[in-house]
Amino acid sequence: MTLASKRGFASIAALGVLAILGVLALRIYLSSGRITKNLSDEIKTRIARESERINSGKQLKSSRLPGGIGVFGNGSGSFLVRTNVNQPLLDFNRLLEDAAVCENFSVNYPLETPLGFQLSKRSSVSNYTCIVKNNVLSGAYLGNVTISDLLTDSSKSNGLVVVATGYAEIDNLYVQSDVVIMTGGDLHIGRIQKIGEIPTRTTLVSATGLVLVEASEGAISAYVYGREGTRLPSGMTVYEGTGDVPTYTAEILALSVAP
Amino acid sequence: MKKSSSSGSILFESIIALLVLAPFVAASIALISQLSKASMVASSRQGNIHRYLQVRNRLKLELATLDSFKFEIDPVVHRNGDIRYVDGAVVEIAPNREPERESDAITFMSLQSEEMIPVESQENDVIQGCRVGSPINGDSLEHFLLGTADGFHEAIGKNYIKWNPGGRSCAKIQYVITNSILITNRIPDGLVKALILIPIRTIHTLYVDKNSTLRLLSHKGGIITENQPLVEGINKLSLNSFRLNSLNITGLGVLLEIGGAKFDFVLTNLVGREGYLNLLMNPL
Repeated sequence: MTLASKRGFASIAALGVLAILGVLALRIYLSSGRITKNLSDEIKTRIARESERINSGKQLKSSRLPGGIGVFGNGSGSFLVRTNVNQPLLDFNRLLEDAAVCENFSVNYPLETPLGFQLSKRSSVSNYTCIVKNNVLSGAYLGNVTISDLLTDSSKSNGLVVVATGYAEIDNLYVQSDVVIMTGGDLHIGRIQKIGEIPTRTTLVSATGLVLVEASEGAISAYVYGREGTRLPSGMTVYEGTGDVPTYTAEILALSVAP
Repeated sequence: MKKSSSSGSILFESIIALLVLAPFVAASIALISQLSKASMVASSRQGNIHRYLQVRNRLKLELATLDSFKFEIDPVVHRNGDIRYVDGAVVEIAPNREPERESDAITFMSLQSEEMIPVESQENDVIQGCRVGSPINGDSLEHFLLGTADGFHEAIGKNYIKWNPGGRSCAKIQYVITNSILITNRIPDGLVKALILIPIRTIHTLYVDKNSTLRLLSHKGGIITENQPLVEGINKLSLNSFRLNSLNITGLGVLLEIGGAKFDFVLTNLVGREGYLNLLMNPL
């Protein structure tokens, strides 16, 4: 091997090493760029997918169930809404904010009140019962309530309000001012008696059960709202509707989204 | 003599060539090393962000399932991985999957509101209900909420009979009120009267175990039905559940630590909550 060829070989080898190192560096640089780009693309894709999933929930189509409830959904979920707009929504939550908690009572089937009145099948019945022996002016009860004598207060301009989550049983109701009695379950009144000459409005509402009044005395005008089977004495003047009961306007009752 | 002089010259030239090349070689090696490190960092960061997105999407999905109902049943955060039932009993988890005490856990519930059944009558622990529309699915009678005048109760169906009188779909079910991780049972001895039956789709808890793995723990009453790994490499999960009063929706503040990186974000559900009485007491 001549001197020149040896020199040439050394130079080519050196250049070769440099070229290999350069290519290696370039590849690593490019792959690093690709990783960053892939990362950025992946984040964008995921965000886009999430947005698409969230937005797809707004496209609703409807079907209908009887009983005033409609089901609206898009396949991945459904809303349950009250479709019967004429049916008022009773606002129990507002009236029961500061309600009294009643005591636990054992109950046997068929369900009966402490005064021996048999409750209707669909009536709401609480495991807790308040027994009120004295006259009360107004009250909210988390449970059933049994009141022996209830006298309304003529000095109250907004009337008497009694509300219970379970059934209510009132032996004698003396009406001398406006009165609202709203119960989750059956509302059973032994006797309503009008006191005084001032005209009054009596509102009797049972959300899930019957309103049953055994007897009345005097000119009683009442709004009554209860299930089929509600029974009133012939002496009462009765209007349909929920009278002075507080209602609310929420439309959506429940929403279902399949995961 | 001439030969030895030419060999020395070649050696000298090679040494000079190596000296000239040395800075380039050193620079190349440094560049390769730096790029290799950058590549590793990018790869690690990609892994962290991938895990973050997995956890975030999971929690987002869980909050979306809150919209399967409107009742005020919020998710429960178990501070420091102390996962307990509402009666205070500890949820038993296998020792190799125990929760990491530095992280919080959270329990969510999803209901099948569209499958709910109004209860028409009850005697002791047997209820009977009917609905018009889609037929009652037997699976939905295995694990459900019973809505009463006193609130909700988690229950398991034992035996059921189904029949279809006059276009309606009816079922008679025997139930047992169970311990719950989410629902506060006021009445352990039995309900006087259920008003509505709502099938439970799932009740599950997300927690980080001692191996830094986010896990999904499913509950059916007081029983654990599954414990699955979801995402590995989660160092810490801190959670704060809150109610946005103006909209009455539920929010979740999340602080996540993955491989030294911290991520914090807030998620909310969409549908406002409503007190159960207004929903149960307005007949369907």
